[in-house]
Amino acid sequence: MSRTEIYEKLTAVFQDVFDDDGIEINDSTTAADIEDWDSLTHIMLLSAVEDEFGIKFDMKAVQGLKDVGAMVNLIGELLA
Amino acid sequence: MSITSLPFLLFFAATLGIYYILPKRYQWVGLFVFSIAFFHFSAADYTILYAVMAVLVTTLCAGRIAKAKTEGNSRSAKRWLALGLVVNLGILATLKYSNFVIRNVNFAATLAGKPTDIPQLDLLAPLGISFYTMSVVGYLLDVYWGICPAQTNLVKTALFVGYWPQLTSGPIARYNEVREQLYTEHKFDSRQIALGMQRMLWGIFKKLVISARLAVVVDTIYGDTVTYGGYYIWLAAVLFMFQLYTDFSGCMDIILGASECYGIRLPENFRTPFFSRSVQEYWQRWHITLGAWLKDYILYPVLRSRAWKDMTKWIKAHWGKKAAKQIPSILGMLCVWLLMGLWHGGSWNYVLGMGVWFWFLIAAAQVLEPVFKKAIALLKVNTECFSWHLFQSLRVFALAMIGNMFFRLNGFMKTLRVIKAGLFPDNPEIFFDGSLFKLGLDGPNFILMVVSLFVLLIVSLLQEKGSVREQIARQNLPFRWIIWYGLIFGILIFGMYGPGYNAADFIYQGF
Amino acid sequence: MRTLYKIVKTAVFTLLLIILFRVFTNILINKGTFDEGNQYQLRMKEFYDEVPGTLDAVYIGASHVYTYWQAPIAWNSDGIAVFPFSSGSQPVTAIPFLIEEVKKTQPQALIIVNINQITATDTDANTVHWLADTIPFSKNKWNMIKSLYETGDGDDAPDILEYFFPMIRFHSRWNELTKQDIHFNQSDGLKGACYFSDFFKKEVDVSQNYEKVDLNKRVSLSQYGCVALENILNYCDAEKVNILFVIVPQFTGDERRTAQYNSAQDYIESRGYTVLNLTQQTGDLGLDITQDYLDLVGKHLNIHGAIKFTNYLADYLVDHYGFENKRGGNPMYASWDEAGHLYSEMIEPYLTKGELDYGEYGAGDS
Repeated sequence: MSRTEIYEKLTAVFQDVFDDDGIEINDSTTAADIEDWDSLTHIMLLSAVEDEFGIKFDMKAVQGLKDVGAMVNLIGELLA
Repeated sequence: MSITSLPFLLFFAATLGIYYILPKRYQWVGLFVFSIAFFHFSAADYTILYAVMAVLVTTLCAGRIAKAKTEGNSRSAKRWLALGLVVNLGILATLKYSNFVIRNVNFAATLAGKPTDIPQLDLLAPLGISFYTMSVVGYLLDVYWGICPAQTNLVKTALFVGYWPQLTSGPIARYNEVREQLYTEHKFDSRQIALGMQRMLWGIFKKLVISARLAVVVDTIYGDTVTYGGYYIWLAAVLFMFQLYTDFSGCMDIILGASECYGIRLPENFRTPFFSRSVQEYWQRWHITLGAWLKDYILYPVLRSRAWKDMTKWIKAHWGKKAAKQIPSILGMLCVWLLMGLWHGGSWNYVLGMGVWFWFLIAAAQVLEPVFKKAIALLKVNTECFSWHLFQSLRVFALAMIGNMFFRLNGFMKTLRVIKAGLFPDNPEIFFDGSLFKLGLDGPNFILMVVSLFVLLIVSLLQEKGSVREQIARQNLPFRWIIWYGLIFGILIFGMYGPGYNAADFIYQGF
Repeated sequence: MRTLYKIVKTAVFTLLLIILFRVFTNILINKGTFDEGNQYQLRMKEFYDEVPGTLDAVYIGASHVYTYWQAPIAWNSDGIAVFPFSSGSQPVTAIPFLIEEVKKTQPQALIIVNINQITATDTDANTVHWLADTIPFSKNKWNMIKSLYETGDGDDAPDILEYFFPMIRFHSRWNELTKQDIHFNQSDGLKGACYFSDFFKKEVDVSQNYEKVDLNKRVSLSQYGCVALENILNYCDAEKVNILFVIVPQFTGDERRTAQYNSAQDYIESRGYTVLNLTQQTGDLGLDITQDYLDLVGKHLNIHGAIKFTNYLADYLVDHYGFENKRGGNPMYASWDEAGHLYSEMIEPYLTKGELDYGEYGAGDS
């Protein structure tokens, strides 16, 4: 799956989880940029991402993802 | 050994001297020896055996987990993890929670008509067990999850577990946070040491000048809530928040400052918590390492567990998407908050007051969020202004204050009674007729207490801009020196120590 | 260079810290109160202002010394310099150490030791602070405090450290500081003389309390007193101290106390030392027990009684020890001239005509 495709799907997930159809994400988006993205919704977000892409993040990833760019990279790795 | 006492300061000075005289590659061994000495001066010697057991088991298990993982043997890794967790948590549970269990068993049996009277145990726990156990559990899980490598050296593990600054009241450090600092070489850096000592100075000021003074008034009022009812109760509740904050964060300043002098940065435990806008944010700024630990090692594993995922699916299917977003996380948080309460003490008082109460507030905030949003829009409230931030902070303060009343008053029914004594207060005159000067502090001392809280406020506001020590370091010498002399003599003259003052018992030190 | 700069900076910071610490300590320590019945405890401190080698005698003891002996009066009448090295309830156990202190700067001086405090038992932290806080630190002071603390004086203090760092106890006085506290290092220039209100104005008739007690009884001293006395005498033997023991006429009408004084006198004399026991000589002093005391327990004299006592003892000293009259222009004793002048001006309004008649005593106002 290409990066653009990942981004398409990921944006939809974000919009769904945060209930906001206007959300835009890019490589440097972090929790500070999205209002409802806190430690609780973080988990829900990751679960939704896992469901959507059919992958499983390990705990190391869960604690370590710094921004959306890193998340996209990891998704790409796990899909490969 | 109280960390605001002269023997402690002498101990610290000695360790600092030795540390920088030692050949750099043995500095960590020095730290290990200092930690043993600190333990000896602070706790009954035999209790160190529990810590020794923890270290032995942890080193063994961590090594075996790592080995099993490299071999791809996940079953074995799980077993070694379980062993490490059971032993460490078992020791903690036995020493600190046996009586809680016994009391509840007795109570339940009485309810069931077959009263038992199992006597409670009188077990001494080693210094810092509530803190180092958390560190150790986190470490084992991190090794299991591949987040950090295992430490094979027994003494190095012992240093991680028992690093003396952390033994009194934390912070709960992750292995990853300290492993590149604890065992490396540290060059003598006079600036770093000066900064560390400045931080210690501020911490001592907070404890001896501010916290101890507040404690006098709080203890007087809570010691006799029949005489001191109505507005007195709320005065005590408010002051206790500041007492607890200055006490605990002051302790952290001393500890982190001391560790900084060694060149080892420990994680922060406080970040001006009273500026928080919500209860959730409050717990990200108060006792930060505990909250973070519960999040990473309890909440996330729970929410990502198969059981929770299945439950979420079921709820989504039966009760809709919205419920599926709220309920699992609220239930997950309940687990976290029950543990948070329990960590503070083995009694329902803590579980309910420090646990369930905050869980309820955060859950309610989450569920009612759309309602609040509508109300704000309707009332045309400006949420980007100072007055709104102030309102939010006061709201958080008031709610947290209630929880901390349970913490302080040490008895669920007792706290309810005290709160009742404060409802519908009818004695506002106490603020004007000089009654405030009869609560154990005379006029000048009471005023000093208020002034010192303002000093705290100013420093906290400055902290929002970055390190206050750095801000001071940029100023010119006379100004800097006036501040340091001011702090030093502020402590010497206004500190509550010496004959006539009881050493303010630090609240978190029994953990 | 940078390192040198840092070292110098640290050194200056530390030095200034120590200086400020001493300044604050001096301001904060408890100096007693100045009111109608009391005066600041400055005498221990002021002793160290005396020019070395100039004193004729040093008079050691508790309040019996300073409410009885007014040094400027003796200076005016006989030109003798006798300083009252005394503090409130000064424990007798400190005396050997205090003699040691005196000998450091005044080795030529006669040591006069007042023994009335021998009937007390161990004392509390405050009096030990009055005694010790202003004595400069030395091995002798270290020994004195250790000895006192271990044998019970001032052991109500939880930590002996507070006698070396009085800041520990007195820092809490910040909310009761007075002008005198801040100007502590200014001596009043009166050589330890009394000038509080009661001293000048109060006259109590202690004859009511005086029962027909037998002044010749003997009762043994307490364990505390015996040990203290023994230590003093042993010290005097070892150091060959030129010493005079004095017992002032403390007129409590307490037979037991007077009996203890008599026993003490016997014992001291048996060891070969001189004791001036004035409890039975109020007549010789010319004391009027209806007017010359300032408290009902007859423990302290007022100005009228003090004048008589000072005149008597001054004459005694001149007669027995041949002190020269140094009054009038000797630059080493300028401060004494000054004190004599100041004090006589101070007391004049309270005296009757001829009361302060130098050369005679006990005349005029009985």
